[in-house]
Amino acid sequence: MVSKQVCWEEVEVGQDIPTLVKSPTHIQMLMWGGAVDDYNPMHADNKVAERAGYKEPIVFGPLVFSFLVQMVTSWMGPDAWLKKIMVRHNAPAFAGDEIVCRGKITNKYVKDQEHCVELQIEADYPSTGRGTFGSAVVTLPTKAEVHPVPAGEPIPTVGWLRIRPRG
Amino acid sequence: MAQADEVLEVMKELVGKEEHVVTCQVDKGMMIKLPWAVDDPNPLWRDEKYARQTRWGGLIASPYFAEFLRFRGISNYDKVFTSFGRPLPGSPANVVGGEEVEYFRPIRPGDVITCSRRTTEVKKRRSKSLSKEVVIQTYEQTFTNQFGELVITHKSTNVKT
Repeated sequence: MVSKQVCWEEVEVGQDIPTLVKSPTHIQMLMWGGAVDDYNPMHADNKVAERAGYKEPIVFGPLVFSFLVQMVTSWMGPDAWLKKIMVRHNAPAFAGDEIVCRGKITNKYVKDQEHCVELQIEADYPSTGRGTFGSAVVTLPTKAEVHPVPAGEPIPTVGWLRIRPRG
Repeated sequence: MAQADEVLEVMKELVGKEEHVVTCQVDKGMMIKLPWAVDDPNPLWRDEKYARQTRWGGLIASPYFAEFLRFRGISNYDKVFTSFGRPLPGSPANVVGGEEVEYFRPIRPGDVITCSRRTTEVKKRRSKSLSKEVVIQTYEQTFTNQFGELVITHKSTNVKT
């Protein structure tokens, strides 16, 4: 977890990056809505969600997008740069779903003196299958360019997110 | 007339127009709140001491900070909450269908970011999962900093249902 820097020479096409599993709750949806100033009732109000055709409020698509960003940036290390990311949401996720984020390296090249890696990314929801999929482009440092990774502790989960709803 | 047709009619007027140009001065609190909500333990977005020792020399915004900026781009708190400009027939709900984001430069505390939005396409489509007609809006947002440099471009597909 961010204790390592990935260098361009070390990666190969076909490699998987570490999987990230997230389980958003209604509390996390509230926190996200407040953090980005998105108060769309689709994510909070049962009646609004039902009227739109969903069984209950859906998880914000941009929150799932952020989980995929978290997966990629945690893997790539602090010297790398996320250049581009694209996602499509096929199906909604609901609070309590276990969202499994996966990524695989699909291309590796040098362009304009930048050492780039392309990834295929996806977020699966057990209830609806391959909910979100897309791609990302990352620039990585070479072994000659890399800076030492500073000592740093991962920041712990906020208390509200440790509370899981009961069965 | 079905609701989707009425929504489409109103939204067609948006195509090609620049809307919701707003400026936002970024502070550390705004930047930190997003990884907090995502539950992303990466210290680069939140730990100043750690960030100072990286190639960036200080805190930079997480890539998903674009999500805050793009909503800031449709909310102007100094005036009123402008959201979607004017009410749409039947007040349809909005769901994000997809996003494509390109990052050109890091955002740091104190940066002044200007956001603008332009709708590129509106169309009607039959949604298989919802078994009804919906309107798809595609728009592009551009974010520049206080030096006039391009920071982020964001393309988004939104489903009005």
